[in-house]
Amino acid sequence: MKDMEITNDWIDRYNENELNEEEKEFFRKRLEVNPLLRTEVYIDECLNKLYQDEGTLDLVKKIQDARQKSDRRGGKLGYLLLAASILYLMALAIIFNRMHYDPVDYASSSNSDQNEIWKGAEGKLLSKDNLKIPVQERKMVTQKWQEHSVNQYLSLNYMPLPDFELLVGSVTRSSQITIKSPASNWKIAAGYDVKFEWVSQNRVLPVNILFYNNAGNLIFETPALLDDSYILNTKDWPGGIYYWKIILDEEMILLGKLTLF
Amino acid sequence: MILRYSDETLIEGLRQRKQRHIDYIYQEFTPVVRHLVKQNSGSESDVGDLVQEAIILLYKRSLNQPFELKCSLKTFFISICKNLWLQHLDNKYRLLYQAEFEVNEPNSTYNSDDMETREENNEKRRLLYKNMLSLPADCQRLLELYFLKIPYKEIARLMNFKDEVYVKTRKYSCKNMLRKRIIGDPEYQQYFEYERHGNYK
Repeated sequence: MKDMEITNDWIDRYNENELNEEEKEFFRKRLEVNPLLRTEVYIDECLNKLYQDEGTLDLVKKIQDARQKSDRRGGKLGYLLLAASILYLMALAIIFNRMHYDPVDYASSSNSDQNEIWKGAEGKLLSKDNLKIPVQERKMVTQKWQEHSVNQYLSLNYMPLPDFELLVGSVTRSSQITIKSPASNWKIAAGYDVKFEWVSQNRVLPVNILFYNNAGNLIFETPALLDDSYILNTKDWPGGIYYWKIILDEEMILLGKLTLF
Repeated sequence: MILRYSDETLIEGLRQRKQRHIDYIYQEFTPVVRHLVKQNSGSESDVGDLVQEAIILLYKRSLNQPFELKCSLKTFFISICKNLWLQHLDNKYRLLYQAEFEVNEPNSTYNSDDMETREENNEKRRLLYKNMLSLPADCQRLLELYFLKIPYKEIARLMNFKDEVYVKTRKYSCKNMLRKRIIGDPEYQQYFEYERHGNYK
């Protein structure tokens, strides 16, 4: 009995009553002192009961099948929901974009009507605030989308630059030159020429004219001018507010504003 | 198109373990159970386990003739799930706070009529089934054939094994593998640890 050693099959054989008396006695003594062996015997006993209940085992397998099918369905449903959510968000984004960039219904208006809006009833250019359309009057229009985007872009060009606005027409440092035209705040239709004319006491010093857009960026600079005039062609200039500076001997003589509409 | 079954048809189908009826029960009843479990700090895995246990209990009830429902099958099923889930939470609470088994009252059943729920340790059974179904396919088949009391010689023929001695050896090794897997299962400590200290008869 001293030479006995418990092998893997002993637990099975013990629970199925296949051990001989001597083995059984040895096994029981080991059970008393070995809690892990006791647990293994208990587990084996439980397993035997479950295996003997073949109906429930078969049912469990079928439930597992149903569970896997349900998971697969859930997975597919998840993908469908994800796809639907993405489509929904895309649709919302498109609607939002159109509402944001296309707030005014010009669909029924002709181009001349639009010009009326810009010029106002008296043919005078309206301020930006006057051009604002109340939110409740806005509605989404799909027609003339591109044209309206341009209008939106143009409206940005008409935002005055506060730093320059303060200086328009009020900076004159030199008595050597007198500006005859244009007026310091001049409005003209885009594409027309603007004539800069001045009377200089000193023809030796060249005059430079610098042009800035309404963001304050230098967009054009004339060469050194020794004549009394300069004609600016605005054909390629988009509508908007521009500022110009006349420089003589590195001194700014006048800052003016030019509005192209 | 999803066919709708009457409660009687479902119970009869479950009694006969018909796959389509089991699928139907799983598909139709799980969403309510999911809601119940997730409202009470459960996970998706808990939902599946709970539905499985409830179907097993329903199956066992259906075997007891006559089986009469006093409410709809769905209501009955959900009440089983509720009881099981409350038991689960009770066990979890005890383990979480390391309550003394001697001090606390025995696991509550919450339903005095629910004899099967009270008598069986469902969690333990679920753990055992889980590991039984995780065995290699040949082990599962061998053990099933063995417990169907098919002779070793016939099993050897059916499974293309050399001889009955090999079948016996393989059966011992499969059972041993299964026991070791159960002991190695993270959930094992919860349901079997105290057996070590219990009195083995």
